[in-house]
This record gives sequence, C-alpha cells and structure tokens, in this order.
Amino acid sequence: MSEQPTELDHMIVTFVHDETIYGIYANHIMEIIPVPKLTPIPKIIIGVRGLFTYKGAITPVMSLAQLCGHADSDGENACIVLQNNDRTFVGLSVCSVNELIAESSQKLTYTKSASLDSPLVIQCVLQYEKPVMIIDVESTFNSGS
Amino acid sequence: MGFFSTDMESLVEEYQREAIELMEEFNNCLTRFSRSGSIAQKDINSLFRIVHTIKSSSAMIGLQAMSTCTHRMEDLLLIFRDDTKRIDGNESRITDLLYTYGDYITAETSAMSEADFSPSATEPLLEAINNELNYFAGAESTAEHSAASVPELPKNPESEERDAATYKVIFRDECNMINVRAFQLVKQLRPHCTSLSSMPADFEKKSAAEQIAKNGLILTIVTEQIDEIKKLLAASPYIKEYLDIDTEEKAPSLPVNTPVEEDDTSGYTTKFVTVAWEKIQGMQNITGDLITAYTLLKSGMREKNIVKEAEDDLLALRKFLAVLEMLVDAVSMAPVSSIASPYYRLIRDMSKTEKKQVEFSIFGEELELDRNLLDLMSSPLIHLLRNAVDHGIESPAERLAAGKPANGKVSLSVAIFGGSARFIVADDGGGIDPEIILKKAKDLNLLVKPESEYSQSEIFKFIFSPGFTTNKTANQYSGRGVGMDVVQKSVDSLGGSVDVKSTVGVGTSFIIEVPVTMSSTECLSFSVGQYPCLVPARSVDKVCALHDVQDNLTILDGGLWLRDKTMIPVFDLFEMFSEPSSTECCIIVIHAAGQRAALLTGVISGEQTAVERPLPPMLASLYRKKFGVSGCSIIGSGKLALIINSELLLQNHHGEGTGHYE
Repeated sequence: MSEQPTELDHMIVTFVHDETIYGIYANHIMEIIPVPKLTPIPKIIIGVRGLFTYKGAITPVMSLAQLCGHADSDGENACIVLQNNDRTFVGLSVCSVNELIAESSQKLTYTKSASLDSPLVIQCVLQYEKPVMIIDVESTFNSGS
Repeated sequence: MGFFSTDMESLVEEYQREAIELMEEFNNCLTRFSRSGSIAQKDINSLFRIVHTIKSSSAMIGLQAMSTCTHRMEDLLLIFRDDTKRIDGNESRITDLLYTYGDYITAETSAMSEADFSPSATEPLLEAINNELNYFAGAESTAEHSAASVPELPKNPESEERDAATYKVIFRDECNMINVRAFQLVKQLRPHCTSLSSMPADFEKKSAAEQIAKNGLILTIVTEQIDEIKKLLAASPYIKEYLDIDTEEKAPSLPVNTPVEEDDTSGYTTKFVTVAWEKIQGMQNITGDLITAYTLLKSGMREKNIVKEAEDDLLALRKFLAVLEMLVDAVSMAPVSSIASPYYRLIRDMSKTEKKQVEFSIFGEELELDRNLLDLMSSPLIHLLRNAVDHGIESPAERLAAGKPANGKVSLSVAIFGGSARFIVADDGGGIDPEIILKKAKDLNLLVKPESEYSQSEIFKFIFSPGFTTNKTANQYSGRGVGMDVVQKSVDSLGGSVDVKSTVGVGTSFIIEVPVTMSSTECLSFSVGQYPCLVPARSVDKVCALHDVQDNLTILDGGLWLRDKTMIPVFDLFEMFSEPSSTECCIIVIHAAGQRAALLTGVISGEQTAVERPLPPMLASLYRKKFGVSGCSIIGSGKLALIINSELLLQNHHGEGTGHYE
C-alpha cells in the first residue's frame, strides 16, 4: 500500500551553518533534541561525531560542522535533528534550528561535483530569494566514508 | 463491503493464523517426502489431519469452493493413508499436486487480509485432484490424466462421517469463563480422538472467550470413538447445543434448567502457545535493559563503596537475571531447519523447470538462531539459491562434457562464528568469469579507475550494483538484473557483509556474515585514548602491564610481536584508532579459533557484564572489518563502549603475519 502524502511532505526544517541555509524535509524528522552525551568512536566515516542511545537503539550522530570542514562548537541552541530511515535512527548535530517553511516550487539546478558544500546536499531550492541546501543525512554514510 | 462481513474479522484472523501454522507443517511433511523419496505413514496422517482441518475451517468462514477442493484432496490422501504403497511410482506427480494445493491455500490465506479479497477459481486444481482420484480409483485414465468428467467416487468405508467430524459447539449464555470451559472440553475429548484441533486454538488469548461466545467453538475431530465424543458433548452441563457441520445435524441439548456447576478452576496450562514476535522482541529488549540497569547499579554502588553491604542481594539479582535471560533466549531462537522447507522446494521446482539435476544440502540445520534474523535472511538466501541453480549449475550435458558428474551440487551452510552468523551458498557450477563482469561493468560506466587496477574481489562486487546482469535473456527466475543489489541491501540493513568467491569451471560461493544477538557477556573494560572498549573475558588468556613484558616485545617487518611461549602478533589499538600512545599501557593476550594475539590497550578499569547491542547498520560492517568491533554496550554513566571481538579481529587480520595493523 503506498503511503498517502502528508502536509509535512512539503515542509522543510531549516538551519544555518557558516551563513549557508540548510534544510531537511520535515517528514523525515523524528524529533529535535538537545545534544546528548555522545560517545566518540574511532573515525572511519567523515563527519561521524559519535553515538548515543535513543529509545534503546544505538544511534549515530553526524556533525554538519565537521561535514563542512569545521570544528564542533555546541552553543546554547545546538541540537540534534533525528531522522528515521527505515526504522534506523540517524542524528545530525546543528548549531540551531532556524524555522519550518513550506517548500518552494523554485528548484535550482544543483551540480554536486561543483558544490563546495558537504556530500549531504541532495537538492537546492530557492526560498525568499535565498538558496536552501536540502540535505539527506543517511547519504553521507554511503558517500562520506 | 468485502467478502467477509466485519463481524467475521476475528474468525478470519484466527483462520489465517491457524492456516499459516498448518501449511508450515504441511510443507515440512512434503520436504521430508521429496527428500527421502518415500512418504512415512506419520506424514500422511499429518497431511490428512491438516487437510481435514482446513476443509472444515474454510467451510466455517464461507469459503465453499476451497472447502470442496480440500474435501477432494482429503479423499485422495485417504487413499494413501490406508495404503502408502499406492503412492509408489507416482511420487513426483503427487508431490507436485500437494505443493500446488499448498500454494493455493497459502496464497488464499494471505489474500484474505486484503479489503477486496475474493476467492480464486479452484477449477484447475479441482480438476487435477479429481484426475488423480480417477487414476487411483481405477477409472479410465490416461497417463496424462486427461480432463475427463469426474465420476462420483465410491465412498471410502472409513469416510470422514465415521471417523472425522467437525462440530460447532455453542455454550450456554450463563456459562462463565467460557474459554476455560472450552479448554476443559478439549482436554476431556482429546483422549478419545486420533486428532483434535479447535478454533480458536489458543484459549489463553483475551479474544478467545469473545470469539467462542460469538461464533461457537469449532472442533475438528478424527476419531474412532465418535459415539463417545457425542456422549461427552451431550453430557456437558455448559453446552447449549452442538452442530455437526458436515451433516448440519443439530444434536440434542440438555434441558435449560440443568444446573451449571460453578467451580473456580481457572488455572490451566497448554503445552504450546503462539506469541506475536513483537512481544518476544519486547521481552528481549527489556531483559537487556534490566541487565544493563543491574550493571549500572552495581557500578554506581562500587563508586560509593557500598557494594559489600548488598553483595548477597546483588548476587541473587544477577542469578535471577541470568535465568530470565536464558528463558528469553530459548523462546527467541529457532533452528535453521524451521526455515528450510521453502529452500528445498525452490531447488526441486527449479531443477524440474530448468531441466537440471541438482543435489541440495543444508549444513548446520540444527543450529539455533534468532527467529527474526532467520526471517530477514530468508529473502537474500532464496535469491542466492535461485541464482545458483539458474546461473551456476550447468545442464547435465554441459557438466558431462566438462568432465563433471551430471548432478550439480548446491549447498547452504550455516555456522556461528565470532558473534556473527555465517551463511554460505555454494555451487559446483560454471563459476563467474571476472572478465565478463568487468566488461559489463565498463559498458555500464561503473568503473572508477583503470581496468587493470581492479582486483578479482572488487570485480565481483559489481554484481551487486543495481540492474547489473550479464544474462541476455530473462526467464521466470532471474536475468533482469534485479536481486543481487537487494541481497546487498538486505545484508547491509542487518549490519552484515557479503563476499563472493568464484573460480571458472569450479563453482561459486556467496559468503554472508551478519551479527547475531548475543546474550550478556562478562567483559574486561579498558580505554584506548578517548574510546571506552570491552573485550569478552572468555577470549582473554592473560593481562599484564606493558612494562612487565617490555623485554619480550620485538619489531619484525614493521610490526610488533610478543614472545609469549611462541611469537604472537600485537594489535596496537592506539595506532588502529589513531589515538596518541599512552604512558600506561596494558597487554591483553587473547585467543580465538586456535590462534593467539595480544592487544595493546590503555589501563584495565575492571570487569563488566555487557549486553551487546548492534552498531547502526551503516557503521556495523565497516567497524567489524576494520577493528573487529562486533557491537557496543552501555557502561557506567550512560556511555557506550565498543566490544572488540577476538574472533573477528583475528579472522580479519589472519595471514598478515606481521602483527601490524594496516
């Protein structure tokens, strides 16, 4: 049975890093939580910040800062955006969550190889005349190792 | 409204649950039959009982065509039940027919959940069964079993009216604890029956009482004491009436004013109950959480120096937890043989269709693995087995021409190794030609470096790319390039890995390794720089401070070795994890699979009971391969520690011979 589209399918949660606006489709997001105590793990995959237990499951957390080549600095508003990918949780640590916006119909041509952004970016949309880089956390596990 | 009315929902669900169980047993009987080439009386009796139950149950929920078709199958089985020798010489045809019947029941049972369900046509199957009945009844019949009109068969003297019956039992309205009464009735009748099944079957379920009150208790009985059964039913003070479903004859009920004896025997036991898998998983998780909570509690008490005061209580608690864990493990495991039937069936059917001669064996059928894992592995294994017959095994003529026996061999081996289950699907067919794979990969623009730089192992990985196939034509089994990528995805989702070994003309093996749920393990805990780690105590030979064995350490070929009776390689975990070396280090000598090695670690911080949790699927395979990390466990203060599995570590770096991690 195919899933019915929901209102959230066309909503995007945005956050800013290094003056670039990033976004995740809201229907992929499970929860947004404060940064928990993370257990570091030896690095194999670029941008993996550590692990923590979420609802009993060992959950990896990627760092947007690390993926953009910066160090992590958890400010007051830092949080983890948790995605549920086929019953597997993946977190993305961000400086702060900006806003929840409706998806713009203006999609920009986005060439991955030409981008200076992280391998997270899968698409780019124009929102209030500013580009929003839509990202997919799980894809980094395939491309970032 | 669909085929079933809404008030039949629970009855249909119960039917489906029962049919799934029965068809599993049905297929197991057929697997034994097709493997041994002859049918045991016990299996024929089981098949007869199953078919009889399905006949009655399907009639009960209004599936008349299914019931009629099943009735004819029952007639056919009756012939073999009376004389199994009559099947001799007809084994293959009868097995095919039984499999077809089983497929039909399974497909219908599954389709019943759909809102737009409507019963499938049974005519072709009915005709096939009738043809066999004609054949065995001695009627005019050709070897091809032409579709002649089906005469009414003479009634078997042991017809089901005499020795098999289905009753709908209605309990009195004032009868309390109706499911308990039903259970007691079944218990009372069972000694007089050759077989007895009931719907509902599980009287402990909350819905059972409601279902019996609404639809009655359906009893399917095979017995030689039908009069005794009727007498017992008539004598029960709780029964209002009972109806013989086959004859639709109502049996006399006791006068309404017969006093209903009230006793309070609500305690009863059944030997087997069906439990939803989610509940077992819930039990597994909560048991793991309890053990973790115990570990954290003990660690907190140790920090406060109050362990001694509660030592006896802690010991008792640990013992109870160990028993609980053992029981939960026992219910969540199933033998590999429990999923073997479809594999035997697949190979049998494919061998016929593809006109190939295939001997199929399963090694390790007796091994017990987590039921969920077995279920999840079923689809990739079926795909690999299908490929082995379709692409691997050559035709008998080709095999003979290549100097091989006409019979090809396909096997599935299952083993547990180092915290993982290993499944190997092997065939002695034509093998995979790496040159053909590389050429196809080039055509599909999959190459990311010069052709000459690809190792054989890298070339074989291309077959897991979506849409990759070297087959020019597709058949009913494969060739469309769909599947191997699905195998890879399924294995990835379990945090496992898949490897291919193949030699042209000799055969191919697909080796899948997936982590298995481990029970709690006693571990040594230590840190490597910022990373907390655990190593299972069962694989530890000894622990010593680095400075105590400094003189026994040697660097050979750029790797570190320890002289400890013999020279053993040292895995420098600091180097592996890219952490700066510590001034205070320990050496842990480990062993696994007949090999020994040493780990260079930080200071040992103590012992810990660890409940292993799998790493997230996207990390699991990499960490297993690179670091021998099989999972992780929650330790004090809610942190996680990596569990270093000696078997994995030694296996992954076996043959390097330098003791140096690369």
